[in-house]
Amino acid sequence: MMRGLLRNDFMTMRKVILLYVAILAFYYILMLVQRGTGGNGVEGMQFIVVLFSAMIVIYSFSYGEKSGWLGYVNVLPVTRTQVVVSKYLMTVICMCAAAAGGMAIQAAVNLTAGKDPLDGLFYMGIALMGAAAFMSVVIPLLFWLGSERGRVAVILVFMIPFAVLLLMEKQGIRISVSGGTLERLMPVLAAGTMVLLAVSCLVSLSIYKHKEF
Amino acid sequence: MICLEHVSKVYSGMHKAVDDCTFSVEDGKITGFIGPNGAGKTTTLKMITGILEATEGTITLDGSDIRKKPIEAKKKIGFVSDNPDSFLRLRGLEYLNFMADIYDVPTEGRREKIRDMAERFEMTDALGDKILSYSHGMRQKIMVMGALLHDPSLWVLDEPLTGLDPKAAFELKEMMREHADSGRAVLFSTHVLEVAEKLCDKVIIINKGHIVFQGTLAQLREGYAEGMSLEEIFLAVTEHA
Repeated sequence: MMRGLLRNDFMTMRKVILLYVAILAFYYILMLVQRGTGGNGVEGMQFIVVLFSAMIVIYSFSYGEKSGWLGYVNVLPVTRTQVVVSKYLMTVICMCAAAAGGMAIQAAVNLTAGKDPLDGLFYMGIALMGAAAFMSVVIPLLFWLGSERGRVAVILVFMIPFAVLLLMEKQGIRISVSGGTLERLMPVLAAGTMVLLAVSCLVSLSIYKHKEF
Repeated sequence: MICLEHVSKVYSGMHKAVDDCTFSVEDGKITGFIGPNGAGKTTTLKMITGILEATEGTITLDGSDIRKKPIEAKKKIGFVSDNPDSFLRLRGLEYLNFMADIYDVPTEGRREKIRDMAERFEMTDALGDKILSYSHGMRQKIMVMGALLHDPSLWVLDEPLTGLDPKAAFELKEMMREHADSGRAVLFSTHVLEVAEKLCDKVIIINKGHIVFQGTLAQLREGYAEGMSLEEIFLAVTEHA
């Protein structure tokens, strides 16, 4: 059943996915150029690449509402839990695919620069976890508010942490974590991200179970 | 068989869309579900098919309670919605394979089933196209095909004849008749009383959330002047209910 739901989601979104692949290719080329010129800010771009791909699920919600799919799916012999989980799986698959692409680019650049191909790959892992944390907040909002009102909430969720960081910087409060520390913290961050996703899934399920169509 | 017992649906704790409905859809019969706009037809069909949960009462589909055993119950239904736009971005064949996968239709024999249905509905050449490119009638036809692929014992249709050309409408009515004659149940809602008159073995009339009549057309005509059309009787029943 889950495979059927996912296949339906991906087949329905195939044109959007193709567009996303084209845009991601542009970002990957940008990353290549930046790395090749020894430029900075590529880590930020990795986060953008992964987060961008996770947004496909918003289109999936939007289409689901317009077509009546989110209501109709309850006629089919699938549980509401499966419907909710399929949205999370779709998000995770999209993010992992984008992260894998970014990692491949980075490894290729490392090789051409004569470096260890695994050098710095963990930044993509950090980006993946950051994006997963972001989507943990976004997906329940989409289930609750729908895609139209949800878009506004998504923008707020995106802007608030940045606004807080900006304010902190203006106050002279700086949070800097070294790459080595991040690398050591990876297992803890990974576990934390999984817990966050699980809690988010339960919240979404609670919202969707009471939805009426 | 579909059984509803004392089924009610209340929205937002205030608006009672369906109030204490009890009726059954027997095997071997085509049951027409008719009522004015806003009477509660779609709400009732949504509860039967699992889109909505009843506030009170029980709904059983061939013995399976839709609240307690939802997956088991839903496997027995083939539902044709009045909105055939849920799969516009899929190709016809992709949609049919999706439905076959969801309902565990074995791959062996699936192709022949699809081919036979496509021939019957004259959809063979259209299966490779996106459903978005279909006319409304073609979309209805593909939805019907998808709903019947798994050979459900209960067939529920919401305004199924809307937008169908005469040939397709005739084919669909024939299929409904065949389905019922093979000992299975068909429930469909319609606004077209002439269709209900010609096709239905039993009618259920709902008005303002209440079942105001259920029985055969002959029973419906009792108590009304001979020669009155079904339309006139229906208006009389719903006006006084």
